[in-house]
Amino acid sequence: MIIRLKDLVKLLGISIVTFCAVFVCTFFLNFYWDVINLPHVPADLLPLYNAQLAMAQFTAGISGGFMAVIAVIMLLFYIRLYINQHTRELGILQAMGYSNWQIARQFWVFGGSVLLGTTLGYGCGHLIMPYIYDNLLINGLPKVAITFHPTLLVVLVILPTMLYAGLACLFAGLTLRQPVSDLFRGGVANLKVKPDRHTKARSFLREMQSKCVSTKKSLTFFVVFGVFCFAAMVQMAFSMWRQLDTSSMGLIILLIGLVLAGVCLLLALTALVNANTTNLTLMRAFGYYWSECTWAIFGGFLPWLLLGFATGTVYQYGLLTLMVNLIFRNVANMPRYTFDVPLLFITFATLLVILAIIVASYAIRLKRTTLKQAAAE
Amino acid sequence: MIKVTNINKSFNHGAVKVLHDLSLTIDDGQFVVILGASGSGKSTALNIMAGLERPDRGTVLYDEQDIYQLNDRALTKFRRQNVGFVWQRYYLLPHLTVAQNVKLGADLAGNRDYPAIIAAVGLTDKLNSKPYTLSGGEQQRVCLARALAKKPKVLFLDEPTGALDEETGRNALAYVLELQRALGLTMIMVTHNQNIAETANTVIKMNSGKIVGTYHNAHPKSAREIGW
Repeated sequence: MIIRLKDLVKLLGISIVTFCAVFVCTFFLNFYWDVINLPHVPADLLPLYNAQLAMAQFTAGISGGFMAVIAVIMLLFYIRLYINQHTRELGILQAMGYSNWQIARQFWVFGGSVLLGTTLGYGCGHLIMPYIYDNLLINGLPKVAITFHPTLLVVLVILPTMLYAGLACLFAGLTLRQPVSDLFRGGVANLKVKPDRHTKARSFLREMQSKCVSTKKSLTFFVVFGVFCFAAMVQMAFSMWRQLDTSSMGLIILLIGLVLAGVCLLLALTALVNANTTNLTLMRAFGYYWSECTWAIFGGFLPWLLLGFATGTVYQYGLLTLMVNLIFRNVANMPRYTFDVPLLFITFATLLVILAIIVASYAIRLKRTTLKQAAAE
Repeated sequence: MIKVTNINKSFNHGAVKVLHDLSLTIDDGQFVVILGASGSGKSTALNIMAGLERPDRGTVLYDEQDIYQLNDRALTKFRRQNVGFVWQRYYLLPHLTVAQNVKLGADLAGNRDYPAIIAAVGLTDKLNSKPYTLSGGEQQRVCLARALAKKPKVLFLDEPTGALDEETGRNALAYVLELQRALGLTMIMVTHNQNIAETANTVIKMNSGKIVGTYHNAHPKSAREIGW
């Protein structure tokens, strides 16, 4: 067994994302399948009924699909990270005669994180179902009993686990296709040598900033996605609360948004700090102030943070406008929805405060780290 | 002048005592070697003298200024303006070129003439190479250039030849000694290699966190003259 329990703990992020995806899909799809078979829907309730069904389908499809894609990207990221961190050990196994695929097969255990997330998501989705049914079901329609749909269990739990485990093995096998000598050298051959056009013009700090982003492209994705989730879901939740009077759904969206944003941003920032612990400690030893170190490591991600925030804001505005003006357009007395400018600024300020707290906590940890300890880690 | 008085340091909440009442004085422009076996506390002493690690007790004076009376920001400023480091493990930034690694030190001193320092350590042709393409000796010279580029008043070296073979180590030492004498730097080197001690002005022997002997070389040898 080359993958230890300690390594798998790091996959908790995937479990959380798959949990959120399956949690949302479970109660919305179960609701959809239970309600679609109602025999008699009064004509005056038909527009709202159809809108509810469309919303359930739409939300499950969009959020479930979106998060499934994110879980795939996270899975591939972790496998690559694991291989990069254990290059020499894997090289030794190959040198001893193990084939790529014999080693890659061990990576099926990465699918375990998906099983954990989907199972818990499915279970919690069922637990919250009575509350969701009470909230979503339209007054005037007969009470709907919660039915167990085995297909959902297969589609949302069993199938994804098998698919993700297979994908993990396949990706690991492809990533390990390198000469044994490169693996022995710690994979240095993977460090691409590009001509540096700006050597003379740029300061060291600017160079560090640029390299932090260009050598950690996958982290850029997590920064953008984390900030996107935060901006989109926080603004959407509060807009639904304040303008559309749907506080329960707003609360669920807010919680999912915070969890997704928290997981992605913590993953990105932790990976970034861990990859730069020695560099930061070295810079501190040489006399760079903490503010300079922070700027060198995180500053390059600022444009990506703004991009994530802008995209999230546009996304939530577009989605709510679509819901109100298209899906619920035939529903009588539908409240109006307008873009909430103060909420935009409050959300942005909150994000900056949260990020500042996270960065400060890393600073405290790093201040206690010596160069020798940093290099040993 | 650096004056260290009654330095004590322990780790693991006092369980492991590393330094016991360490006191020493180093004059400006001197090359001092701290000699001792592994675990004798010499690297910890070096870190404390360089302002990297606060002692439990005692003072470190640089021209009457106790550096551990300074807060973290002021201590960082002190390191920025006064000290340079060379380590056995180099600690070069792998994604940056030789020139960019040297700029780490040069930018702190506003030194735009860093290519001259790279030339002085004989690496002009490696200016745009990444560290992992260099040999151990070349990486050590980059590390030295990075330290010198910030124009330090005191240069601290922690086993700088520890990872090098005899020929490369001897060459690296020769570079260091040449530059130290040319620039009149105060230089403090930690090593377990007794032969290197013969190149120093002053040798401080340490054992179990204490100084067990100090002597001066009236005629320090060059790197070519010592055994290895």
